[in-house]
Amino acid sequence: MYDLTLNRVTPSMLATFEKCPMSFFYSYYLGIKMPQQTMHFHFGTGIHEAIDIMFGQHKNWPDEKILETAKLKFHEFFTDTSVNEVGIDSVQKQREKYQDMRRDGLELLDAVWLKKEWLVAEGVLPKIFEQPMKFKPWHPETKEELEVPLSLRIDGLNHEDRTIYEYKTSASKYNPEETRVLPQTLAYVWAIWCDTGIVYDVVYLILLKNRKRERLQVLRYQYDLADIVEFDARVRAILEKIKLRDFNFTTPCKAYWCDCKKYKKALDVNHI
Amino acid sequence: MKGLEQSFKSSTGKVVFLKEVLTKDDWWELKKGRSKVEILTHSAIQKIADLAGIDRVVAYTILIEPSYTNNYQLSIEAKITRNNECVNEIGEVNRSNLGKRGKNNPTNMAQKRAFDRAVLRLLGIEGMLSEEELADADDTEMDHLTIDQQKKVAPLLSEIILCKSKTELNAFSKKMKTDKSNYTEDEITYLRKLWKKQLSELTSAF
Repeated sequence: MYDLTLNRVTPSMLATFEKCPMSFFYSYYLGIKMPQQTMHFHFGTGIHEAIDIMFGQHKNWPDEKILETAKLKFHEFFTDTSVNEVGIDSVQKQREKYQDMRRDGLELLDAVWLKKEWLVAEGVLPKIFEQPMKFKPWHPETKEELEVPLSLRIDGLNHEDRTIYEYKTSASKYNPEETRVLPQTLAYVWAIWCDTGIVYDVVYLILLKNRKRERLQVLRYQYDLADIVEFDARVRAILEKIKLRDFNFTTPCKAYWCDCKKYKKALDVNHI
Repeated sequence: MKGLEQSFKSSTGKVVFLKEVLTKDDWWELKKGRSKVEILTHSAIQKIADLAGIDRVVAYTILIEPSYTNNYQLSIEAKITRNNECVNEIGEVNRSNLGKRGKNNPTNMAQKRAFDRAVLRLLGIEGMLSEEELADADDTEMDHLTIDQQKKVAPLLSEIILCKSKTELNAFSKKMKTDKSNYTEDEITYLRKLWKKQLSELTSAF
């Protein structure tokens, strides 16, 4: 058994390990950086920030200025400097993509604004935004702490409604069964339980990109302590595997879209 | 004649050069030190066999069955025919010569090896290898370093991968000349290869 050699775990690390340990090995264990386009990242951040503004000022609804401010915020994050020169696509292609995404982002914000009351009726009303947390969570019964801190950032919180909010921008709808057990979802519940002693609900607000209709999907989940106990075991099992350096080297990942392929290709010196 | 300059007779009796029938997906170059070997994919060899008019029905015989007493050796004989000519070759797999690629389908690997060897022999193609002969063609060669070594050189790997110009690569190379003593021979060899790969990618990009 080796040392863990990680100073924290994040929900994204846990999800990556569960999907493909090899990918985890390259990206988190070795920490290899690959060239990447930041456009989608900036798009997501821009949408997050804009939605925070909309819900943050819900007391002033339906003042249209709120929507305008939200759109300005979106533009602040999603600028055309998101078109970078990494070389995955040509600059011209990236510019076209940027314009398409910009238009789609603004349409998405319009859709949220138009349906804001419906969203509140569905239980979407975050009051605290972008809550960072970093601490060692513990087992609900044995009180045994995790050996490394869990580090995460919660998109939205409402302590009165006891609800955690997570926004996502996605091209397709989320699968409700799969989303319920995502490490990210459960990590939030666990973290908030450690902080408050209460098991909160989780609401996913999924903004569906490039669509004319049905642009919003809302998923609501309720959890109990058994879910936290189970997740605690899942996380500890992952940490044990990391300690054993068990990254599934002998069973290659079959998913052709997996990031492990990109890492392998970049590091392969046999095929030049 | 060497490599892709070699030729064979097609089923119609016409002389066909390998370079004329093989596309870039059919072969690749394996560099070992200063020498190079052309590696043909199994589908390329099948393509050549079809063009040469080799019978598609091949007689396979299992010569050795795997067991714990023989290092799980499996040997298969392939007998191929073309008109009046007949050639047999053996393909074998065991724990030592089978990499991750063929671990789950050893019979298939032995059969491919036997077939590929037989086709190359029948047509008199020399100095080229079938991809199936390579135990670990999928390895990145970084796998030859221990996990701790990989962890140690990982920041340098990122630096090389993220280099966007020859100037950046040269700066890296300059830095490495002074830091070289902190790394083992294996680590330096791998870093050098990756550096060269990145250089060739930047050189060919325009």
